[in-house]
Amino acid sequence: MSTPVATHRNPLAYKSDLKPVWCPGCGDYGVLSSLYQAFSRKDVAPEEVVIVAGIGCSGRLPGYVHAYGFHGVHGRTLPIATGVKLANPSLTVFAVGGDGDGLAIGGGHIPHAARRNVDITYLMLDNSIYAQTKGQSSPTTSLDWETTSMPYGTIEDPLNPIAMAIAYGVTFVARGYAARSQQLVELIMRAMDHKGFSFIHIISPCVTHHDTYKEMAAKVMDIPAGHDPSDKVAAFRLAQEEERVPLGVFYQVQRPAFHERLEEIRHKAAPDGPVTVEDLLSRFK
Amino acid sequence: MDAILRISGRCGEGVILAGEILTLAAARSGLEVFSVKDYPAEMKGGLCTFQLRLGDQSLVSQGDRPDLLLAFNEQAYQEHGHQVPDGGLLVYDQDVFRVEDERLRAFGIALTTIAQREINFLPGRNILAAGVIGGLLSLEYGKIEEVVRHALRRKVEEVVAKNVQALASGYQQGLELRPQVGLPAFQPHPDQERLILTGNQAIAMGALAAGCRFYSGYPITPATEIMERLAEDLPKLGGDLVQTEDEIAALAMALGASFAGKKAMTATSGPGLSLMTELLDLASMAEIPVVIVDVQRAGPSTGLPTKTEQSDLNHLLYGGHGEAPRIVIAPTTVEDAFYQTIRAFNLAEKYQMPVYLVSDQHLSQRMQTVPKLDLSRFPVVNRELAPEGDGKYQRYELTSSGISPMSVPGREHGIYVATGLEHDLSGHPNYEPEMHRAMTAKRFRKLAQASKELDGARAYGPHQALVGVLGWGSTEGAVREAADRALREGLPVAVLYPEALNPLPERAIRDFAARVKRVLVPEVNYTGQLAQLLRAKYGLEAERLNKSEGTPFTPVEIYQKIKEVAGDEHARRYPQEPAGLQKRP
Repeated sequence: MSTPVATHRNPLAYKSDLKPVWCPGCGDYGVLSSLYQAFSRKDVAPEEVVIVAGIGCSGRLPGYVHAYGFHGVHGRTLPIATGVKLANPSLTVFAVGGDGDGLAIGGGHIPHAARRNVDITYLMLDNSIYAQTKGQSSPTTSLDWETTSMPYGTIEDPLNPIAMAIAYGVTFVARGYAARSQQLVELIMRAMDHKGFSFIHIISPCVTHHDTYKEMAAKVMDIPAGHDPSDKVAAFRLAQEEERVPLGVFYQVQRPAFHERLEEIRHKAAPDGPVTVEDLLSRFK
Repeated sequence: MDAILRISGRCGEGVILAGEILTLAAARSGLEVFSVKDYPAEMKGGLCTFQLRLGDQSLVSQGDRPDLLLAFNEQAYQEHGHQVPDGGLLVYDQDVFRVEDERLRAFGIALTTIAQREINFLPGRNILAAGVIGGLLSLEYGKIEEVVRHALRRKVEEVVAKNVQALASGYQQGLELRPQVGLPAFQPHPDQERLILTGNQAIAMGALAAGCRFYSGYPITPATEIMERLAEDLPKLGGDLVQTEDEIAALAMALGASFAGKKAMTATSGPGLSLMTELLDLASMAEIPVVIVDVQRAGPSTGLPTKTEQSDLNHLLYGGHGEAPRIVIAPTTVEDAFYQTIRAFNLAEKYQMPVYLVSDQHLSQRMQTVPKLDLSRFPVVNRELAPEGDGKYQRYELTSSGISPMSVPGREHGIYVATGLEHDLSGHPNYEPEMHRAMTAKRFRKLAQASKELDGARAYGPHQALVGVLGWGSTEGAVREAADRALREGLPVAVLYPEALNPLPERAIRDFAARVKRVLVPEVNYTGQLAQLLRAKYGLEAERLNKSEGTPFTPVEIYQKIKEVAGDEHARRYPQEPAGLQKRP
């Protein structure tokens, strides 16, 4: 942060030589460019960044960033990213996935990443549709919306990712919009600064299967300046907003991060410093 | 010389604890021990049984019929009494039931009354019983008390004192009874370096010795003790352990940690193994070293969670989508479990692929004395890292061995994306026909390379034999003991245990098949999974011995089958002569 802006790496320094496979106009481009800018402004070394991604359109993102990446399986970004962070806590670790990846197949991992308060940033690129498989209902598809898997209209109520994250005890909960890049850059930077599990729900419309740009343009609003992010009840109330889509930081608190707790455990287990395998074996005599 | 003692009672009465205390005390008194436990999945009720075999010479199996049965109740007697040979010993709680058994030498002891009235502490009945056996064996009292105190170290002092009182009282009873009972007097061989541990403990310790510094896992019987051991020990060595939300997260987290440079492991059993299968493919495809321990239990689905079986072999060899090379190795003894775990890490690191280390309830939960463990037997191998230079780094570079030097996050010139998508040399997604062919071949080349160092098998017995027993995993002890008995009787039997189940040591197996008349494949499963594999791969028609009862083979079961196979073969070749006794021409 204290480094003069002039010496910062250019946002293009984080661009890989792969051309994205996304449709023109896809919200994911906005997220990708916001990420380049946030990295540039934080001036983070590319080799110190790891982006773990799931399956779906957004899962391709690590390939377009000049940084380490792990494109795993569907729904498992959080446990993989947790493993990366714990193995080397000095790394800046991101998990990136869609609404299907994070809320359907991988929904069981969010509460546990939250409980651990693992120091990673989770970007959920929400287009409210299964886009890569060409248009099936997802956990955030609006009721009645006609999709290829629910041609008579979606009959399951959508989830509320922000309210879930607050309920789970995620220590940094925010929402951004792919089409509002400057705000998203700020949110990503704040999430990177946050020590603990940070979650950004990013509205990232799909121009091909579920184009919500028009709808969103009318619905998005900034979270009022007077909102106190440490007020959990206020954050929860804000998350219940149905007519509008509030953008900004809903909730933020500080708790020890998981790697710090593990560090404490190591001191507890071996107060006089590490022991040897020989020492441990001798207990079985 | 050895003796087999069996203790059986209602679960929750502390039968297993009593057995474990005696096992540890006997081992620390300088005896060789081999003990197994048999228990239901429920916490209370049902029958729990502990079998302790001890002697002054090395023991390779739990043995057959018990020389002494200690029955806590009538059900235990009904279930196990008939297995005690004629003239064998029965010690029972005479306050709970009465026995008229002319076949056995029965000794009633008022376990309940003594615990309740004299010590005023009924829960100490199991420790009292352990004391009785300790006295009957004339184990050194101080050793038993030391073990009891350690086992109860987290209890309040009053409880410990009551239990010690029960132990002393029982020990005295045992000593007084000893002249009538007449258990053998063993010659202890105090060995300062000898260890006593379970298979699961050996796996945990092997992992630490191999440099494992990250473990993620989910509790599941009968693998949980690996996690529990490491939960206590990993932090002492600067490592981390995470209890995950499920087995999927367990393997996912281990892969993340390994990708970032730590040696990582997870352990599970059948149902968890099924959940991990998608990530096994990812590890194989993205070429990430990882060790996955499968402690097999019996049956499909929830099955028989606390019982043993060797029925996951097909899953381990073939489970997964697409064609994903993996290494499968199966330790056979507690000692071997330690070394093979080190080896599993070495193989995973060297070949950058998932390694399945296969145990089962019988191996993982047995307690066995082992000689001093040699940390230098399998020197620790670490993954090959690409040199740090300015040249373009290609994570999946095509090499003749198939092994491409790795990079880890933090290295400036090694930036790449690990991926489960088919990819080109740089790791970029690529679906070209030629690329898929080349990359599949590369991944399998590593397996071919690994087969060069996994070409061996542990052979036992004469070079030429009438019967050749070819097995895998935890059955080795019972098979060796059966083979020894047959050999003593002049029946030529050879034994072969391959070092790996994938890749299989083809030459060693073909050579073995050529030097024995009949191959016998004993497996604790219903369908004969290794036998099927041997037929499919090498056209080997083997005799099979299968058992799917949730219990391990006893030596006598193997021995009888060896005799049967030898008899058939002998009768076929020499119709006039009695089977088994003639030397082969």
